[in-house]
Amino acid sequence: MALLPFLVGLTTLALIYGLLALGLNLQYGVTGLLNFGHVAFFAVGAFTSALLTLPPKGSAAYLQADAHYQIGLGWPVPVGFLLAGVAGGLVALLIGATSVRLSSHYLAVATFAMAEIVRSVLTNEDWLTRGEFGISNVPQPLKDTVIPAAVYPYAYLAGTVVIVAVLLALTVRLTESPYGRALRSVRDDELAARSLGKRTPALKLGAFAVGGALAGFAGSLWTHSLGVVHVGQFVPIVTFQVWLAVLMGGSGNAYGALLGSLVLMTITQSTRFLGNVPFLDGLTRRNPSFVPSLRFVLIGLLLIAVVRFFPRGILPERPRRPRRRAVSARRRAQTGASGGSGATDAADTPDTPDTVSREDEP
Amino acid sequence: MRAATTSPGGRPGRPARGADALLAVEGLQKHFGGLMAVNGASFAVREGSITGLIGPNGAGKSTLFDLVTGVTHADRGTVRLAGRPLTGLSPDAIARAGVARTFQTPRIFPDMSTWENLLAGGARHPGETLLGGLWLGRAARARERALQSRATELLAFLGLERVAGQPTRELSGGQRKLLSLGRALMTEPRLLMLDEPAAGVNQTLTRTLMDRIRDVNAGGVTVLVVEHDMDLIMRLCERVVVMHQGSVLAEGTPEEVQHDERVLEAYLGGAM
Repeated sequence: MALLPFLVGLTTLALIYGLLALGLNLQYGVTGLLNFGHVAFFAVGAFTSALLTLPPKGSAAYLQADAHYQIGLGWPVPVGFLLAGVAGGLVALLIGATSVRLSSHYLAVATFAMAEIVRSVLTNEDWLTRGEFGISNVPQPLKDTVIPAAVYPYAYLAGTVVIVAVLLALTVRLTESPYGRALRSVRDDELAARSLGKRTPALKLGAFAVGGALAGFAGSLWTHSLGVVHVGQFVPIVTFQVWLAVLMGGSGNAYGALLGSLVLMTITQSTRFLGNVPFLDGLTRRNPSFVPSLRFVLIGLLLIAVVRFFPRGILPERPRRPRRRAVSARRRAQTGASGGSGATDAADTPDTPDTVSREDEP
Repeated sequence: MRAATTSPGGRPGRPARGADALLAVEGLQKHFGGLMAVNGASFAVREGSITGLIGPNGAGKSTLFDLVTGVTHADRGTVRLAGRPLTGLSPDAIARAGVARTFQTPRIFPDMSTWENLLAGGARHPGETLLGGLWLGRAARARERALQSRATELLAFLGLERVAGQPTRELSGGQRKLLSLGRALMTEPRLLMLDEPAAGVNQTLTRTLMDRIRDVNAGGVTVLVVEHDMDLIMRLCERVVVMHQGSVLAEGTPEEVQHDERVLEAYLGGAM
């Protein structure tokens, strides 16, 4: 078997799931919102991006591909990508506005139901999605024109790496900001946060929408990587796999969410080769569903192992400590002018925007 | 500056003015099913005072706290802060109006550090919106610095420096009480409402807490405290409101209240 293409495909998939996990981590890991309908935002992003970028009906490309879909706007893929995020965020905003005030487990039920409604709509609105048939000629940007098909997966991976890295950096910036701190306070104790004056409904809605937007972006990346979009891809198991990635990686830690996706995808994809294992291939011949079933058993065992050995995930969330400079400035103030060691301590710390500077000390 | 360290609760330039009512509660009523938890309670908390709220178990003290802070809504009656009606506002709006509270069982943010718990109390932060947090402009950075230096002061004031970086789920009960006091102070309140600050706290720490409450009050913050520890109330408060069966039974100085026949009966006789 060709190992390199397998690894490239695996990494691309893991990054796309990583983006989904980043969104769920913002919603659940940071804000404490139990979202069991994450796949809906993924689906909305995928269909938005596909329908916006497909060659218009009746165009040369449409006829050449012998296509049957109704809607294609032929817009550039980057526009489709951006609007996929917007669509994911808007749908999340819409769902969130009606249900984000629900307390934890009620929100879980509402989001799960919402995802099923979205899937049902996508299945039945043939004119829009071609239902169960799906749409199979979703454009793949620059393919054959700039980048030869042979190296296309590598180029797509490189692009995905860049996009996910940028979105990761933005997400981390957000969660480390005062806004992220306010979100964590809502997660830890909503009533306490309210009694400190936090507008908790708006905070929850914001986190929910941004999480939905990240899932929308993931949907776009996915549909263009495959060149195919159909509603059967967006089943509830996707949501649960993202949950597993977040919990395994370390809820509340964005890097953990990415790592969790990587580990999870490595396991689910590698288990495809179980059928090739000498001892198991006999069983496979007699029972074709043996290997697919075994994959689910492995994922279950993995979850048990994580909960047993890493209850807070592989990369747990770390509580934020005061910066050294703030503390040493304090120490200096206490010991007065004689405190020499504290001053050198402070001078060693690099200047960052968040640091308490000496001028601001009382 | 030492002055800032000894009274970090204060808003400068807000001297304690004698007889003005900062909090005015009038005819407050709340029933849960058939039970009248609060039945027409009226009293006032003078600006700059430490006022105690006492009463036997089930007198309606905690419900009254929840009514004033908007956690539950009253069936009837009004609550005013410096003349401004608070009735019907959400808990967060009431907090932003200048009322900070602690809970009987401290409600800390367990997975956040002591440091972050304090900073999370900071009010009016331009960096606390989605775009403000992403962009983090000059105003947001300045506010963050101000909050950090204040939190640093409070860590020292409350003796929590050693646990600053620890997740607060690891704190002792007493440390949690101190932390929730500090976090409430971070909101720079006009009125601080403390629900049994000394319950389940040892003698030494109780004394520390009392000293800190006095310091905060000296800095210009009005304090309303519910407490079962009669001794503490009598030593700490200049005014005491006694509740019994959902209404205000007596109101006055600790001495007056201690010698009030009705209060003695409610507490000792129990023959109502």
